[in-house]
Amino acid sequence: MKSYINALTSLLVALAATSAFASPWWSLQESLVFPSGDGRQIRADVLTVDLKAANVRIVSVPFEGGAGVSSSEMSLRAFAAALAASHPRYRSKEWIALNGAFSSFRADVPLGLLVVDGKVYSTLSREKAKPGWASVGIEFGQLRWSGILCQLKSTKAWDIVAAAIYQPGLCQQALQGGPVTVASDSIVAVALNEPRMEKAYKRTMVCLTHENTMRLIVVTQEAHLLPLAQWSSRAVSAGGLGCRVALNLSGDTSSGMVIRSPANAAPRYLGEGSFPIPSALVVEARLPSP
Amino acid sequence: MTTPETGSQNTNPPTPAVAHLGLLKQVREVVIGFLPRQLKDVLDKGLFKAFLLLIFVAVLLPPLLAFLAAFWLKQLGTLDNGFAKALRAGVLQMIQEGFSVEEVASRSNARLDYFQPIDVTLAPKLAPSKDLRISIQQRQKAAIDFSSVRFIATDPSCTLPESDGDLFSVSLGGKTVAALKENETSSISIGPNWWADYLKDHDSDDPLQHVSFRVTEQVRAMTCGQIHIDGSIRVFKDILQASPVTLTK
Repeated sequence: MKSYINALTSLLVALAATSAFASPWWSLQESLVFPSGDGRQIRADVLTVDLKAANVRIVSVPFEGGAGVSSSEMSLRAFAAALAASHPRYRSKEWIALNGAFSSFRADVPLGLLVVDGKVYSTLSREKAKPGWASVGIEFGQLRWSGILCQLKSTKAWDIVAAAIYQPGLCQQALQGGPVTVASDSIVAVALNEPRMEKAYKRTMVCLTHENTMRLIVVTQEAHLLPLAQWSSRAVSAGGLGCRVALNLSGDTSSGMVIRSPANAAPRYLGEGSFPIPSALVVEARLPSP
Repeated sequence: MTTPETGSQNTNPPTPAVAHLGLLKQVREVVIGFLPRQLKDVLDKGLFKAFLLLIFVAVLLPPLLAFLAAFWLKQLGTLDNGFAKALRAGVLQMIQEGFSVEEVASRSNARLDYFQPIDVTLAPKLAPSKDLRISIQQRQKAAIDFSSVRFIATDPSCTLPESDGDLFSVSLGGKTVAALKENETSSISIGPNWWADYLKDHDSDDPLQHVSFRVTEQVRAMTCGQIHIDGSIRVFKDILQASPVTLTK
């Protein structure tokens, strides 16, 4: 009887703690929790995008935000404000923006591959992985920035491919990041010693599921990659996110998500998103076919 | 008190000098009591003076000689006299060769003369080449290190080639030392082999004064993009030997 009451109480607490918002092409689950591995519970906000109904764009923040490389550095928040205020495409519609991958020698210069609408703005980084680095496996363990979020030129389908086997011209849109945290049909691709080897950070991760959805995950507490990968690779029925592949993007103060609805004057911010970023994902409703 | 020698009784008190010697003897006995056994044996055999001489020759004399040599070399250096200068140069050369000063010093890279960062941006049309001012003496050891080479688009309509071709070349004293690709990190050694090769075609004794970066023809043909190069130049104090060099690659 006591355990039944405890379970009921936990369920009520969980329901109270998490909240969900939805639209025809996206749904948001806030404050989902997963175990950190050291006895804590980590909170994450997860936005699920229906790829059949939504259009995902990888963008260069300086270019899309109306500035040139090296002329301006924009954080996710500043970028979102620029889109909402004056961008002809995004000024009056609903969209979601997520921070992209890492910076190079300057905060607005991408590190590694960035392909936008078929145009290569930055080429592949072949920096070798450190020994014992997070991503494991033959394909994903070779390079430090081991994965590419790629919309295949041939089928327009989204995938996360290993940077080590990338071929020029493969992707219509591409964003290199790393490490790949979930690979090859829900296998955890993070080394078991990662929590001992690396520091914990606030995280942004993108994942693809078997159900043709993309999950944008913002972890607002400092977390290691291993427990995040373990949780996200688990089936939804087992309390996970059901990711078949997942890629770590830029974290810490870069990490954030913005939801903008024309009904609300101000965009809604999840995560910090205060540090300048070179790239972002922008998601919008897919236009009906003519 | 009766002395055994005379058998007579001495009732006079000891003089201050005798008392002082007696005290010194006692102190000496105390000190000897603390000495290691081997040293006590030397003293017991009456070899104390020889021991002191050995200490002087083996321990004190060498640094004293070095000090005196340095002192006189310094004094010679202050004389405005051709003979004194020649003598000083000869002695210094003998010391350097005798003690292999250069050889010992060149075993490490710690003798850095200067360090110059590389932070260069090249653009196909606007800035196809750039020079960095440096000063490297003939046969001076140096290294050019590249930590990051990035080729990026500069406007939204720009698309970069994804081919694996060279982006730019680096030359020193008019001689190309390397051609680098995107994301390539490398270290170019300006050592004996490089100098032997360079001096085949150049007989000037002037120092090298420029490191030049120049985009390749493939990049030159582009209308957009820029190459950002990060790295450093390390110039060492070591002047490499002019004697015959064995080329080993």
